[in-house]
Amino acid sequence: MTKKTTSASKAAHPWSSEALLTKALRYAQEMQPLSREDWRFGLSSAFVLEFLARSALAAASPVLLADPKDWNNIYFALGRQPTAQKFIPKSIDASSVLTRLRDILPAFTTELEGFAAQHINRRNEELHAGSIPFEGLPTTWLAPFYQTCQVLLASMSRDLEYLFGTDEAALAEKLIVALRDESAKAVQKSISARKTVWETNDETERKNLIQKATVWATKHHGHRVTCPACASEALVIGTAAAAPVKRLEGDLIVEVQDHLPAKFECVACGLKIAGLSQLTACGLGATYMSTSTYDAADYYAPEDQHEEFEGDNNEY
Amino acid sequence: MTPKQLVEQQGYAFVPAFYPDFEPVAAAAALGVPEQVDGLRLVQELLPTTLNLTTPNTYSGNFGLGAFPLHTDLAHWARPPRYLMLRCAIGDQDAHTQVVDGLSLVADVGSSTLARCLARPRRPMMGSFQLLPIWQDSSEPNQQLIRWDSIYLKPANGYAQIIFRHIAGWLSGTQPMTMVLLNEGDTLLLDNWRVLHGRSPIQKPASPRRIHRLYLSSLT
Repeated sequence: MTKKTTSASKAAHPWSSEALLTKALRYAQEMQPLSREDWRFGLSSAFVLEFLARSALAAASPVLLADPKDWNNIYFALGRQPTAQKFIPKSIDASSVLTRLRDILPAFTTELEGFAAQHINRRNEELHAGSIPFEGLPTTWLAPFYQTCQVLLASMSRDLEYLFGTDEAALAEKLIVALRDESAKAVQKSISARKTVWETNDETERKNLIQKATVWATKHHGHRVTCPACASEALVIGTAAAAPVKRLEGDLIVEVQDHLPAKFECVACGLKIAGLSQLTACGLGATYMSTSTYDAADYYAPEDQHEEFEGDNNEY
Repeated sequence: MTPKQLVEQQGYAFVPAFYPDFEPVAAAAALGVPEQVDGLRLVQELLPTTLNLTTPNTYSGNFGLGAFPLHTDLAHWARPPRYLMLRCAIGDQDAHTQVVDGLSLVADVGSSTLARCLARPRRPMMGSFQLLPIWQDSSEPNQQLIRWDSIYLKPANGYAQIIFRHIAGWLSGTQPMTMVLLNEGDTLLLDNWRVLHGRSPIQKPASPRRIHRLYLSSLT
């Protein structure tokens, strides 16, 4: 009749998404009364970012936070109490957290990962070195900081208002929009510059370069697109945005996978664009499908190290 | 309406003389799934007790025969028990149980404000302190949680101190529903994640009042 299990519990797991999120909230509230130029504002923001990232990863499973070098950490992450003496649970470092998030959350792009890693490194420098990285730091970090927070919060069905309150969230939204505009302007400037240089080439040279670009784009791995500066064939290279989907077509396995663009390169005019926000700003940010084909037998059959011989037997 | 439907609608259900012959566990099992929570007896007997006769880890140890302020049970736990049954064994017509719908508080103060209001238990839980939002929102229906306790919860920072004062002010100005668990079997079923409850002062020191309390993990 009675149930020994408990929906009620005294303490939350310290690696649970909820516990880490409330910790991020606590540091966000520490930021609020400080001036944005105050070094403590920057330091608290780095704590916010790290706890938010860990919370987002723990939302998939707290096990993803466990340092795999000692299985007791995994056991602890599962909510069990390891019996190892003097056990202190150890979680993975922040950079591993960010790498895992980049692979798990499509919206957590390499750009955001890069920013988060840089900002968390400032915190490391603050704690481990005599230098003072948050002192005099220009507030240009605020826009990518809020953008990163926005993406991580959205992965947990939360918004900026939850973490920063109504007023700061409204300001953060404005900064994010401005960052996108800035990004768009910067990329259009690069395209125009390349176009101008391209037009100075004579027609024969342009033809050669276009031909070279076509061959290059065919040979290299990536998504073929038209260069916005010189209209040659160019490549967008991206990262996987979803798990691959396999289907059988006759004797072949066709594997398709959604990718999110990360960089662009054109070998004809030399235009290079990095980052999803800049790619989006020039119309190259759409996701694309990568298709690979395997022979069904090769795909499923285990490798035979002696396939040229008949089957093993016990004859002498 | 069934007790479950009433709880879903208004956060509580008062069922007079509910199977008075039933043992408390059997009565609770008729309403849902009784839950044995960590460190507490399945059936707890609540008796009016003077301040000097009990310990400060109890409400009687803090308020004696005085009024018990509005609170949710085990608000200082990470996940408090979901439902609570108070059932009369022996009644006292002068002792009232008060109930306030926490959703009114949320509507007045704002869910966002309460979700950002971080409390901590007054004492370490399992060797450490933890942060507990007063309002825990959820994308799943019926899984939101309000917690409140003026004794066992402390504000975790300056922002929370302001909100704590605001909540205390709101509660002192609100008019709770009152009911008396008078006759044997009178049963009050509460959604402990939604409603706050309290007790009026005990008028006579020799009050015979005896109430059984059980927690339930779900209602049927």
